[in-house]
Amino acid sequence: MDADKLNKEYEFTIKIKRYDPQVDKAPYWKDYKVKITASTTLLDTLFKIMEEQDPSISLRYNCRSAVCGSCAMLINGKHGLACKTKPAELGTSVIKVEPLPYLPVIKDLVVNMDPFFEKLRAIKPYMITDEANWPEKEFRQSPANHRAVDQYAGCILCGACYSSCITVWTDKNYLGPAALTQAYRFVIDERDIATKERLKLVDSEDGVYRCHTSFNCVEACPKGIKPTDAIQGLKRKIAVQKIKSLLRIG
Amino acid sequence: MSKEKIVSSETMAMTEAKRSNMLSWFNPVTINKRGIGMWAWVFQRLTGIGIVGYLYLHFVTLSSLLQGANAYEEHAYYYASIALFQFMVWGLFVIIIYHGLNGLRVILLDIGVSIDAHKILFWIFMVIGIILSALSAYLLYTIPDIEKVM
Repeated sequence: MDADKLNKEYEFTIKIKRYDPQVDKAPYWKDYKVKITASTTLLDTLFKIMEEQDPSISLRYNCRSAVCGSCAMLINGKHGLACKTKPAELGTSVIKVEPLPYLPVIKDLVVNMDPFFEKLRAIKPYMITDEANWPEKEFRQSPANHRAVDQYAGCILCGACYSSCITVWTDKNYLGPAALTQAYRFVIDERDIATKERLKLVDSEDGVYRCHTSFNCVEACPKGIKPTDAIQGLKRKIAVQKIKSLLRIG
Repeated sequence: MSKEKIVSSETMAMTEAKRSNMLSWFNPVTINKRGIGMWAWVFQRLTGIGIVGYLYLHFVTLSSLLQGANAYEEHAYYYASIALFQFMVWGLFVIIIYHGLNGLRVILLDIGVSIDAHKILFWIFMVIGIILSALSAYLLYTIPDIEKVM
């Protein structure tokens, strides 16, 4: 009985925004009718469409379990991972699938992530340690510090927050939520020693101060990370640092 | 403030076409699933522009003072006699109340208070705003005629 229920198939209409810049003049919608079970993910649905109807659809995917961050797309107008979204849970039988907005489309659902990664590289997204005084065994981190860092270290670099940010849409130099969140992640990490350098890097017009706290990134993040928290944290750290340097105490 | 060039010109040129003006805030592709924070910010900008627009109107009215006190009073009475202008004054109150209250909310968020509860905070401030707007309408429309008082 239960197996029957699980295997019951429902019909969905998947509308995919197709666009091949080398062939098409403008993006167009193409509808695909497909039968899937209640537990099928959108990624599997797209695979089914590619196998049965149209193999020419392009999309990025890799791990299929919300860890790699390759399959971020706009699903019914909302940012999400195709592998984490189940069509049956969206409450509608017509599902619109689009590439991430405000990033250049390469083909169909594949976008050029270069602007996103370039900004990530700009904030030095790696641990900088005191090489002269390396500990004999391992770098120690307190459990409390780990808990503080944990949320931001969970970023899978899918680019959903970047493409949802109102400031990114209008300012091409803005670092974006993901890069600033990673900057904060290393600033609060007690094993990292380059705090001042990092704060100086984001303390600019195109850094933290361009954030208008619209919380679009928080709404978009498929991993439940709150980039706005991190950016506001950076702002406060910079303010404290400036007061300290004004008083010559740090 | 250092204005370092963070992104290479090649990528900038590539993404140039995708960049847009403030109309992108109302892009129909993504408009339907926005959170409160987004709209709070959009209206913060629009009311800001409205307040700056009023500032110019204010200067125009004040400039009649150059022709003497009587000219200014004539000007002021003229505006006060038109019902539409009276309504627009109330509209000005509403946008200033919104701009001020949401500004307080943003200051609180900047300090780090209640980032997790930013939506609840927005609605609390909006309830305060509605009460203040109603109060301002009551005061504006029940102000005794100045001539009678004098």
